[in-house]
Amino acid sequence: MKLIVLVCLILLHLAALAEQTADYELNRGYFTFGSLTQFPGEYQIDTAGTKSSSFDFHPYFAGGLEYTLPEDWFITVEGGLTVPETTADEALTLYTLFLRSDFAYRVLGGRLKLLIGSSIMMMIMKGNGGTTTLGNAGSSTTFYRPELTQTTYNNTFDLGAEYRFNQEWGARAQLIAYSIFDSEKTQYSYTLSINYSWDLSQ
Amino acid sequence: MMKWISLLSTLPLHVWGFTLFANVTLQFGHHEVPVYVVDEGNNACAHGNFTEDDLVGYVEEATRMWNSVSTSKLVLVPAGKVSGSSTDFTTGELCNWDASYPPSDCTNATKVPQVSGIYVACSTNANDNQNFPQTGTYSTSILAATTMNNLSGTNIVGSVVLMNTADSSVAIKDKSASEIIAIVAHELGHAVGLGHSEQTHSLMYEQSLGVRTALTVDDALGVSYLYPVKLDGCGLFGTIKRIDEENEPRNPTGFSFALILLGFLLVGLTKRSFLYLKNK
Ligand SMILES: [Zn+2]
Repeated sequence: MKLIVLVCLILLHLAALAEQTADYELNRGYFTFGSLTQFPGEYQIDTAGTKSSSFDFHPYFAGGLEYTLPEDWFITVEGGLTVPETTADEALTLYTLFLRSDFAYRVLGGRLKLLIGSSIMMMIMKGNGGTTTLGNAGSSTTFYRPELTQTTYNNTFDLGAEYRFNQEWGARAQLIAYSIFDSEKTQYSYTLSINYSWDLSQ
Repeated sequence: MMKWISLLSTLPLHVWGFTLFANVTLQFGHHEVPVYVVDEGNNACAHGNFTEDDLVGYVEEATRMWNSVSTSKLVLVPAGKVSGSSTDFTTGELCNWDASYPPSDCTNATKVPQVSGIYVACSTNANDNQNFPQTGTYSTSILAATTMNNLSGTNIVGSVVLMNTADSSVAIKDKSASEIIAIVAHELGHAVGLGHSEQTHSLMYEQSLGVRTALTVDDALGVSYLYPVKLDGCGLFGTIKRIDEENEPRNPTGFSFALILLGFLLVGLTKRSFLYLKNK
């Protein structure tokens, strides 16, 4: 099942590539600023069992290109990076790098774009090393803080919508579904962003 | 430049780091790790007011907590009960066999057996300074203990979790099912390589406090650090350092996907430069 969907996704991309001889055309470039909320409601944040909030501010910057396809379809490719953040104990520096590709369909005379696509989300954890002495069964023990740089790579399934205020400015919401083929591990993140685009077709 | 980055870069206060069990990164070499419950037919869990069958259920729930992390490929697989005629797990001393890590020596002739995977057992061993020591004596307040008792280099081959059901006054006997699930989940965290967390609400905090029904961000980061999800980038994005020796089939999707993206960018850029040249 997993393989079939992925093969379809790849074939769709290839089909779109093949279109370049006809109507496939680089259309616009855009620059994005937004916030990535990772896994809202998934993790516990206090001893009362409260779950993480529905919105966390993790700023990111991205840039992308938009290609026209026949009818009202587009393809967008985008790369971005969240601003590096450090944990309260300074043990880890965290940031997320992503590459994303979407099919976009224009509705309402171009006011609204609906997006379906996929990303590679790379969460980079840079360990700052060191030790800490913590309680352990009534006495205390030395524990070791991470010292390597470790990266997780997730291929995600994305759904989004973008509202165009005008030719240049738009606002986008995008849902990022992790591990959709493994229900036990399925988790969601989302981005809220604004983008500025400009014409590249001339 | 650095100034505004530091202004933006404060994580919510509830995000802390995690710690590791050892000064080297110890981890299972395979991402699917079976978790067994030991039943030696001697009702070893009885002082804890639960049964071995209950423990199977607790283990199932506890594995679910760790398995929920999408950025980690670790899957703890509940593997039911293993029974044996000996009582080495329930009466033996928990220590490592090859004295590599952690450095603890067995004082007792009967060692808890060396295992592959994770074994969870109830211990009736109330000997001083053995499985549940506190300042040199046996402690009823220690809820459980875990040791990686089978290592191959920096790979964990097996870990043993012992629940402290050693006598009739153990603290675990008054714990609710959900608290015992959290205690088991905490020990499974040690079994796969994590140390304690500084955050009181973390599953990996040293004590069992309040409600613990889910991981915290630091728990999730810890298991993602030790067992990261990866794609086969063929060097495109660099390789993961630690767990790359394992002989598991890799997922080629990421590579194809990255190639397609690259293709788009190249086609786009080439067309753009052609247009640019034409316009000139
Ligand atoms: Zn512990």
